[in-house]
Amino acid sequence: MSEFAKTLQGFIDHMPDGRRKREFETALKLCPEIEVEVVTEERANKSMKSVREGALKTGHAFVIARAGKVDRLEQAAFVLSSDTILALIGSIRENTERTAARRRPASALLAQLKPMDPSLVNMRLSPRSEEETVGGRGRVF
Amino acid sequence: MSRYLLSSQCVFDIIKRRNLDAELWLEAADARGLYADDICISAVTPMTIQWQLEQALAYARAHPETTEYPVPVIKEFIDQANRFFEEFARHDRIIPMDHKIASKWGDLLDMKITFQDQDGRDYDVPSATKVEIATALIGRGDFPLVYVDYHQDGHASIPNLAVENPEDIVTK
Repeated sequence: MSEFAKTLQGFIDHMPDGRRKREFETALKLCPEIEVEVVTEERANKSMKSVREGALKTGHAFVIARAGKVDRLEQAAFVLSSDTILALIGSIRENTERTAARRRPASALLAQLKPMDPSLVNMRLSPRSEEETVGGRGRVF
Repeated sequence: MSRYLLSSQCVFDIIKRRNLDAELWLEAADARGLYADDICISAVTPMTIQWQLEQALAYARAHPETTEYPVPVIKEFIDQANRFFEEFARHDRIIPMDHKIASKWGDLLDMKITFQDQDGRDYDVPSATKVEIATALIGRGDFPLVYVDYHQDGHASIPNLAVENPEDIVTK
């Protein structure tokens, strides 16, 4: 679990059971590795420019916390609404929370395929040579 | 969670549905928590496979007595391949070339990368395969993809390329 996910998980654990909590839990399961660095408010005040530049350079998210770590909402200097956080996760992974509902197991890709002639087992792709590439598809050129 | 880009050869083997290692890799993917959304192909893969099958079809028509693969068998292969590609296209999992992938492809074009065919003969990796590899290196949304391909020593010569050999997963 990424630092980002761990940080959010602390909040989610304290959310009342319901649709919103389930959305968060699903989104976090699908969330890619997003690293988050928690910096103290003191450091942020002194070097906001370098924090911003670091975020742009590394792509890491930064959370600015008054006490150096975020374990209660009131300790966070900037608080995002749950909608904003879900949208953030979704935008990172192509609207994850919406696609979650229609995710299919990987092997579902095989469902529409039927076993073909056994003689094809050893058929392999051959490297396409330049001579074949030029006008290779006679019907096109 | 990592996402994966199937090599053209792996796609080719999956379409056959003859329990080859690439297909077994896909079956085992469920147990590893992978979803269909996690598996992509490059935009050049349909072209690569269709070209191979068109060559085989042309040969079968010209030499019906000696061909290893009769016309109906190849036609069925083409139909099944097209259905498989449609599935990827419908769910936006065919990754087109954008400027970042093109730039990486340019880097790879300047590199001599050697693979071996099934008979152990060396060959220079064709440009279409280099597009696949560039696509895996850049990935989508700046998340690189793991390239699913059978073992080739030449993979090691490509910086930052993460490769998964279906044979390794199936053996485990």
